[in-house]
Amino acid sequence: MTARDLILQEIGSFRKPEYLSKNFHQIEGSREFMELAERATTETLEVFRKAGLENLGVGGEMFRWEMYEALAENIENLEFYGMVRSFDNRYYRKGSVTGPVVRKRPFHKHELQYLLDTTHDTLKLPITGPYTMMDWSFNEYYKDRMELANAYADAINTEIRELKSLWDKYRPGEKFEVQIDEPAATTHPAEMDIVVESVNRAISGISGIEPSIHVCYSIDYAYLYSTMPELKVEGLNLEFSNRDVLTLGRGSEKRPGFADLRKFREINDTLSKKKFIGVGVTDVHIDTIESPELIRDRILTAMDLVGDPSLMRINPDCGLRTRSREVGYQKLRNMSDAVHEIRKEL
Amino acid sequence: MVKIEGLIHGIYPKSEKLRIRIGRWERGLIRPEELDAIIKEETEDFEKLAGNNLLHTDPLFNWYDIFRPITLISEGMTLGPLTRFEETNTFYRIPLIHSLPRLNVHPEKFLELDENPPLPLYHVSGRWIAFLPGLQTFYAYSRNIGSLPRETFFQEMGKIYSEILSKFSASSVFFMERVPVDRSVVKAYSEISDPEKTIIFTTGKLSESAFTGSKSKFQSIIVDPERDNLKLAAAHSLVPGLKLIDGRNTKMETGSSVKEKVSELSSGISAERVIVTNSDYLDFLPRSVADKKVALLSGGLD
Repeated sequence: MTARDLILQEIGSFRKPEYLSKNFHQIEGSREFMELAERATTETLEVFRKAGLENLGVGGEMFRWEMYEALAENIENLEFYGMVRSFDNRYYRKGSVTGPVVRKRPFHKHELQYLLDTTHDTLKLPITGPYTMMDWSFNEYYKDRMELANAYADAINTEIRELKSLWDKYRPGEKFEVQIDEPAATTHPAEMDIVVESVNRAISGISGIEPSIHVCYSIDYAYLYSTMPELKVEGLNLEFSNRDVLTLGRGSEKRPGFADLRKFREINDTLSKKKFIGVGVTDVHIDTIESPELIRDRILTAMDLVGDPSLMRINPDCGLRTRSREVGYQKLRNMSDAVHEIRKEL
Repeated sequence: MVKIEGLIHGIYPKSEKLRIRIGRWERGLIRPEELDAIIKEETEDFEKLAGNNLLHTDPLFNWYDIFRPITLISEGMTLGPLTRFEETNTFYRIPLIHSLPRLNVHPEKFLELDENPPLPLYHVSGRWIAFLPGLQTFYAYSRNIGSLPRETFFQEMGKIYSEILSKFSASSVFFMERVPVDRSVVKAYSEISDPEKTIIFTTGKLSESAFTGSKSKFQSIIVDPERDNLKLAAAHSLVPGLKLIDGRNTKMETGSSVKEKVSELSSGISAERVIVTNSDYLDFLPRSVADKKVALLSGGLD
């Protein structure tokens, strides 16, 4: 066990301060918006530092309203006809692809530029993946889902290339961590070939990056684990706590949410270059703040199952945007306290 | 030449105005009665949009998913966690079956229920079709905590459905099955209501064995657009139906492409009339696109 084991990382989003969220769409892209998003990023980075995170992501995605829109608004031939219901009275904007998918503007350049200008912390850039973009779009143009996913992959590849060039100007020789967000990855188990091909294509030919994939609320991670030999990412950042219980205890039986890490290990053990696993140890869908003791039990259970702590990173299940900033902070703080306790013990 | 009849069914996407009002109701800023009045108004607007040529169900503006209102007005079932609805980015509250389901609330009365806009179950005027989730689908999409046998569930839900139908003066009933139908459910439907007033929306390959022993023809059997399916639907219903309007894609069909497909599939099949309908309820589409699809169905297929 070393100090570099169990790196404490963010997954992506964090609740926006009200001064940014209340007029987000009305002022988006304006000078006022940039100033507010920058201010919110700085404040959120400080929250993350105070909570003890070691990888600060992009400061809570203050420049982005939502993961799909952040890319979709910057893509040619993606039309929005209106809102589509997700559940209850909650809606999202689902675009229709009516022609070739082409990136018309950079997606995250300003956000990264601001971070590189203002911080020397370890960062990780999340970007919505090609399969999820495809799955969440209506397809009026491409002949099939594979073709559309690959078109998105090409647009994302262009973006990552440009961001990497920017990164190199500020941090030459330092690896650029890129997290491909694919919440839809296992929703159509018969399409795991599309997931693999499109994600690989999105990062193809770009050296000096550390690509990872984030998946959450999967019906069965076994579909994802089975792709590990072909998937050219270095790690998987996954949600586990949402499927776990809130009582204390260690081991697969007492921690049902973590039991299938065994399958991860089985496959990882067969690989010549092993992948890391980012383990979600706090549930972002509930306001209950898990105690450091509970999180410690989750981490120790995961360590037993994964076998090698150097392959583990510690994170929340997903972005914390649906929780208040206070609850989000406390969840991260307890996560950090649990890790420090374990590092001391071991 | 086969005559085409348009049919629109299921949960219809809410207007922006209605979405905002529901949000205000959720936050306690408007009274349930006000929301109810707005839903009635919007339903009337939908009926105007559909026009006289179109068969339709209630647009179900106060339904959040196809199982929830029925679950909430029945004993023996509760709402479970939000669960992904099939392979979409849409979620529903999975029904939990604990024990024999029984209707415990008057479905025609105005009522506020937990986690659902106020009922009554339907807001309609004039001639309309009652929409109900299919029994097989209800069973398959629920978590059967009480280990209730399938046939028992069909029987008890059948009673609930009969009671609901007897309280509303619908001209017919539409059962949405999202899994392939079998003999036991077809038999259940012929007992719940008059088969000649019953529309069964089926999924996948239709099998002749599902109709073994079935003596009466149903009003309509709606099928995925395949020739064998249509043949069976024509044999066992008065007017077979085809799902030719894509409820999952914004791409617009044209009147000529629909007519061409009907003509191609129905050639040599004994059917004077064919129903054309949406392949899924239109709540998966933006409202503006759904409106265009309704306009096509109500006037563009003559």
